[in-house]
Amino acid sequence: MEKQTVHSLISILITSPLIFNKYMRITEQQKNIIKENVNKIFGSQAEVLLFGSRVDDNQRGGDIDLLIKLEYADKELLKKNLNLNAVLQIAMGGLQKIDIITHVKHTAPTALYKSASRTGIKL
Amino acid sequence: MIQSKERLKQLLSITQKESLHLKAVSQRLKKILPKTEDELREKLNEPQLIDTLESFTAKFSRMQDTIADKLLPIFLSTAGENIGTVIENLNRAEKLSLISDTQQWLVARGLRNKLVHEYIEDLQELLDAVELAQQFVNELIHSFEAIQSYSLKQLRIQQV
Repeated sequence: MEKQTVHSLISILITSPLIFNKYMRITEQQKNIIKENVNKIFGSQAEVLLFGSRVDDNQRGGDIDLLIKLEYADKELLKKNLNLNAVLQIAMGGLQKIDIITHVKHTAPTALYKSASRTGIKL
Repeated sequence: MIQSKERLKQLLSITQKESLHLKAVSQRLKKILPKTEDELREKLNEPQLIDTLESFTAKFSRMQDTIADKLLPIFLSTAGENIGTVIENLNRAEKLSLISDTQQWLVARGLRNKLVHEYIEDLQELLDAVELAQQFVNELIHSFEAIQSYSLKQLRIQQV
């Protein structure tokens, strides 16, 4: 193989998201349960990110921290947040502690939101 | 069996007291809680409101714990049912029509952190949380009464 081809192959590999995608410590099944229920409760305007210890390779276990980003304000935000937490607990067998924060676009960001948004990975 | 019946009787008596105290503080809170965010911001400096909110939150949490973690397991075992995790016990209670809905009980558990005014930056959220908690007070009291009535009639626990 030509030296140049090897180089370009390496550069493709190291920039590939498959290799450098940050590791999420939740199962595929958990990820699907989360996405499905976020969509069911908040609708398609919601984007969900995983943050906290579950996106940190150096930690083990821990709570599942979720950030829900919303396009529009919602009068029932608190109720929906708590309902999502409850259905996720039931779906995951009740052994998993889940923390959910929400943020509506164009509203004042909290410190926690800023850090979650910076470090979180979209599900 | 005798021991578990004694324990059930004792827990029914404790929960009954908790139920009365929760109902009373819930009504006191309703009378003084502001309706709007702005009013609440001003009133959060008043000891009477802070103390009543603290007391409501403590009793609201305690009654949930007493029923879900203590009363329900001993009730189910006295009734000859299997006992399991909190969610499994709540599901069983739902099937027996003693509680309305497991999901609502988990929602109520999640509400506790939302009632601690020092943690909450958004005062509208605090008002919403208190309203949801107030709605759940009736569910707690009805659930207790359903378990009490089942215990007296079906399990022959003597009046507490």
